[in-house]
Amino acid sequence: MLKKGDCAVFAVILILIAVFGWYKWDASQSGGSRIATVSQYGKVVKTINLDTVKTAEDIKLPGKYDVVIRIERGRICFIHSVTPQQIGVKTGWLSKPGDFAACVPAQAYIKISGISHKLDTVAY
Amino acid sequence: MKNTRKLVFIALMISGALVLSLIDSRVVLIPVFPGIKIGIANIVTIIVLYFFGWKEAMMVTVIRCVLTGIFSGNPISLIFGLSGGILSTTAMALMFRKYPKYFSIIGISLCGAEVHNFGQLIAASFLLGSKTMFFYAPYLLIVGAISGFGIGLVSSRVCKIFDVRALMKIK
Repeated sequence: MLKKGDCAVFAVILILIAVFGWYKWDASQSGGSRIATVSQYGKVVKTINLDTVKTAEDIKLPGKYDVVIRIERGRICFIHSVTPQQIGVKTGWLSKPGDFAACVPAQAYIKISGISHKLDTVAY
Repeated sequence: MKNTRKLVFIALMISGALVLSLIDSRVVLIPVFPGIKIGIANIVTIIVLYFFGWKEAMMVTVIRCVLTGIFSGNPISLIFGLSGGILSTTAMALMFRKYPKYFSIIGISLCGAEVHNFGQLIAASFLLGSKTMFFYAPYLLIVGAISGFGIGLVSSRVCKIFDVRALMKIK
């Protein structure tokens, strides 16, 4: 039932999974401080060092979707939005480098990246 | 479309696809990754592609996406549906028309599912103004491979069992 080309399609998919998996894995490997970046309309709105957050904070993003982002020590999430599918909210808390949540209708996303300790020692 | 039987069949297929995509949008496949769907409406696209051609398949896909967008009242789902649908139908039509010797319906469906995912990722990347969306790619690829294979299996059985053209006495 399967033909020659089908195996090629499978092979290509496996290679793509490996490539993008590595891309994602690579992003999650940076240790050190966890930096959350909140962006909207292609611009960075706020950058937060999640390890140094003292009190929980809510940020409201502009736009008609009433998007609210909650920041707590070590984690961040879309806590509320009036978007139809609620995909950003359902993604839940982000806490590891490489974690990512998007609210496409509001054109907003949150990404966590790590900054290595090496860089910190240079900075101090 | 002069052939009334064909017109009726295509209309039936569009309404069928519409029902399937509405069911699809209600099914939560993986709670951790919201927004990932099975893509059962693709069965209809493949059947139409198999028995008619790329024009009819494209028509069914575009009308289905536009109507789903209107019914769900979600302009974003319209953008995502169209970007994924048009790209995947084009890819499947190319494989089916140009290289039927090399690809079975399962391979075509697999490719269609993955191209659909990439179309949506590209649309999302444009909307967000960032390529970070591709962090989703490994999960989408894995789910797309499984669902594409399943959809292909179902579609190839349907195409074998029901000779639509003979059943509907088209031409």
